[in-house]
Amino acid sequence: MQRRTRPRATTPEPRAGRPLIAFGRWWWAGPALLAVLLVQYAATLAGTFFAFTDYSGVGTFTLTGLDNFVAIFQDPSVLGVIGNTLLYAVAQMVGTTILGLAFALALHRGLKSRYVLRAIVFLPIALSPLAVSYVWKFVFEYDGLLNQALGALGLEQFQRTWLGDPETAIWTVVTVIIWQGVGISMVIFLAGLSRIPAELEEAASLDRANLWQRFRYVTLPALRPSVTVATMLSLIFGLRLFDPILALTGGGPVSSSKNLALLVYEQAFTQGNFGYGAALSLILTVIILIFAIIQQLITRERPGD
Amino acid sequence: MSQHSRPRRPLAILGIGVASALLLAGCSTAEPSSGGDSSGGDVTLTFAYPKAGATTPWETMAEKYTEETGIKVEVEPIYIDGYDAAISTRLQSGNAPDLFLTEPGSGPKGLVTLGSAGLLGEVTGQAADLINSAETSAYGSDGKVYGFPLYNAPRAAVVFDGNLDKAGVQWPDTISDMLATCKTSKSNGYAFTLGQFGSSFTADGQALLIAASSVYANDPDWDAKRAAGDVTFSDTDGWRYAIQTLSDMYAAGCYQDGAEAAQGEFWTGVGAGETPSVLSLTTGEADIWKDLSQLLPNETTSVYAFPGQTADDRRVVNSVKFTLSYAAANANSEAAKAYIDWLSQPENLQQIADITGTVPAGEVTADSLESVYEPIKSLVADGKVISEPGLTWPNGVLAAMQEDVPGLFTGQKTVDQVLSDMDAAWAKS
Repeated sequence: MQRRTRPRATTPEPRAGRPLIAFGRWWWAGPALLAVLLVQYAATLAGTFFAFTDYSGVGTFTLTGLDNFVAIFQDPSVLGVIGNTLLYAVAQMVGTTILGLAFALALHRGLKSRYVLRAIVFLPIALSPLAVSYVWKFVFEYDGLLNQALGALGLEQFQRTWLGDPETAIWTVVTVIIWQGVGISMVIFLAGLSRIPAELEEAASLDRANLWQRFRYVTLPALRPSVTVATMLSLIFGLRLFDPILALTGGGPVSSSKNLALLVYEQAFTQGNFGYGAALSLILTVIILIFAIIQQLITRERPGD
Repeated sequence: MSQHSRPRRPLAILGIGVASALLLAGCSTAEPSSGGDSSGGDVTLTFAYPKAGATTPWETMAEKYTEETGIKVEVEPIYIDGYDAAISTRLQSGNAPDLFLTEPGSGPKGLVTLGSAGLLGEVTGQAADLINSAETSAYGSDGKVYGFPLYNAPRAAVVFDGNLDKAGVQWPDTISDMLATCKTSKSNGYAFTLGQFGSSFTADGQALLIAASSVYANDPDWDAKRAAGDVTFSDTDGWRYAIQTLSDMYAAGCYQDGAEAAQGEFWTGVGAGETPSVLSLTTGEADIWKDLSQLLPNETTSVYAFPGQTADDRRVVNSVKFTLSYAAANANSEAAKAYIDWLSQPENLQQIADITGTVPAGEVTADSLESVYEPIKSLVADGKVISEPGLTWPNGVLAAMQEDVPGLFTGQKTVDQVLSDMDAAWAKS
């Protein structure tokens, strides 16, 4: 079979006198690059250096090699905290992806009130996570709305100290982060849905595909890039979580809802173990980096895409 | 390896970070703060304090000083949650306030921490004489002190007199009586004391109050022995008793429902003028009575000693809540020292105590206590006052206690585990 070749794009004739845009060079981005280098990378490198010291946050320090890292991995409570960190990330990824997709499908077309409903679902993402968490605290605290509602319904046996129970504390945080994160996932999926040609769905209908089959074989494959972006974004947000945990449970009881970001804060700024905190921070950075690389590998363009 | 002999490559990396921070902060080097020339001219002192309660004397004292000397003092309240970090950062960058509140001990704004780092100026003379000689180690290092006490705030129980009557109980003298009282008062709708174990200070505040009788009443030098390695938490019966008592208090219903995760919800009602259904507040300094008297004008409070292992072992724990310090690198250091000398005069210390509802700095005597402290006067007169325990503990030890104690209530920790975790934290420091 003869291979068809696409006509090569021809370059425009060079004009006399270079256009203004031709003056654009890499150094146009210089100020921004410098700012990123100084603010982000230099600070990260400095922090990395302190991870190998016993710096307390004030005064002098000595180099301690890998002592901080040895101490971290010998402490079983830190391993539990790393587990919580991954749990938050996975919970946020799964929760916001499934609910975001459900909302996007429901509000994609058809409903007259869909624009208002979209705004309502999206609104929480525009609010401060800390403020949102304090509002939710009124729901979960012992004399809060949830226990009051259970009492009003005659379900006193289900009332509990939601924020102080090791079995429920972490799930109160998960509830809040999913509630706040659904909006951004929904918007990503709405953008993806808007790119699916209506003809595809019509063709599937003509082939007598039911609703589930149309979703399974038409919509979902077309949404694959959106799913990738939504899941990876929510995963990385989940790894960096801080405000809701601090506001709702403080990481307690006994670290049962604590994640790495909160542990870094406690060690570096509350207890004055800056070097140890920097080492924890480096571990968190590496974890996020691993997931970011995975995201790049998954989302990179392949031939045929 | 010391800081001065570390390899050049990390130094270069550190240099980039420092340089970037300085560039972004718009400053070139850490210079002494200056509000004017202390040797003459218009000096304006700056004074920072952590903003928490409604009652603060610092603005009043600043105005008084200006009236008397003509030297202006600009008072800067910093929200308490960010205070420690703000002071530490500003001290190290050379733009600290001329004067600022610190605290004894080795905490983040502790005199030992900041003083041994060379960040604070030495305090001498009349102000230094106010320090209890038994507590000098908590005020600095190498024989120097870097702050002086501004007032004494006993750590004891602030009791709502009306609630005590309504609950039909009397304030107990012993722990065993207290556990019985907890059950009676709870059945009448009142928790014996407010538990806010969602906030870290509750756990150690409560434990140290019990340990005052079970450990320090008979062994006031226990902290020094612990520092020397002569004793441990795990092998001290008094500490085992203290931590076990916390567990017993929870089981006996001494705290309100949901205490294991409560934080500041209590204040929402108090701010609205509602008297809480608790007999007492026991985990902080007693100066809270002053704020309560303003928020709940129809209620009266009295300060009682926390129950002891035995009635004879009850002690009043004296807390020096705040000290005053000045930065070592300070162009106004002479003016700052002059303000310290002025503030440490007896009439000014008395005025601070009157405003805050506390006891003037210096030795605590029965005569120096106002009427709200009537129930503890006899203990003070008998010399049953101890210094605040734990001031010189490594930070991690208090943190371990704060972390573990709620675990006693949720079943995550045993008494033995709490004590061994505290010992482990000490070993790590």
